[in-house]
Amino acid sequence: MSTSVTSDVSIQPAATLAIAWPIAPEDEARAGLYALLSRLFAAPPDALLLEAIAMTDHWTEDGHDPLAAAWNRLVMASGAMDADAAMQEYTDLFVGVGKCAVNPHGSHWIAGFMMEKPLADLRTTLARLGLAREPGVTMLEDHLAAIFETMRILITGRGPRSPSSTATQHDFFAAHVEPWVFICCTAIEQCSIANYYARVAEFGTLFLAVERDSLAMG
Amino acid sequence: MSKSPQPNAYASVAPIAHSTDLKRRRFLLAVGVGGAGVAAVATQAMVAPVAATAPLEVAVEGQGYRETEHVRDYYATTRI
Repeated sequence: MSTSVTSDVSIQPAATLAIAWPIAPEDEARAGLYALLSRLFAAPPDALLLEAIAMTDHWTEDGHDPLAAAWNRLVMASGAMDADAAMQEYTDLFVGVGKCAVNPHGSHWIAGFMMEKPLADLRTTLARLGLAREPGVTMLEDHLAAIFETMRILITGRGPRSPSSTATQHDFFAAHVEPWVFICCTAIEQCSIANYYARVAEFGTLFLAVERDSLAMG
Repeated sequence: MSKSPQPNAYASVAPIAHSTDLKRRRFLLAVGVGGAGVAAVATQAMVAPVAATAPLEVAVEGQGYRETEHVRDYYATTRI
């Protein structure tokens, strides 16, 4: 049985994102974390990416920083993880039909089925925001990776599209992230076969909690 | 070759941060978001499943169900 994973995501070379709108450094950092989370849920990390994460700076921990601790655990897990094992784990979790598979689509968690009203609502929101799936991409808009990528674009803008206001980011987060992504990440962490992705999901949960709280400050 | 529109660095971004925005940014910095180190990884990690385009009609394709060989084999066993 083939265990290869086809990535349906169009990878954008970094060079084409060179035109950058000026944003605060904290927002650059948020966007970077969304980009990383998006990438890790779109496809398993290859050896290069694992190495890149493993070589990132550790965050300072003073015992009261759950987010920093989770980040550091992810960094260390990236150094210890083998790309083949990561691919197998990703396949078993998100592509397989085994007992521990986790569906990474919002509609599944909100409506109980994929491609239901929550996806339609999301598409309506995206259209209003002037965003759409890239041509040729088969990944659904309510896939974890696509949701994180949307947040990233709202923060940084893209090409001629300027960054969106914090209020817009908050509204999108409240309507399309908060209702299901926490639950989905918890399900991943609780999967017995989740190892690397338990660390990814743990960090994701804590980061999104920070996002929820910080975006509510507007 | 026509130039793509250049972002106006002096518009769109508020020149003076609101106090609530400063509060949000200080909070982010305090919990660790805003430190160095993520940018390089993020650049390498870029994906673009969503793009800023005009509304696009796309065929609805599910990613969840795939008829792999082992599924076809299973179906073969269910045929009377």
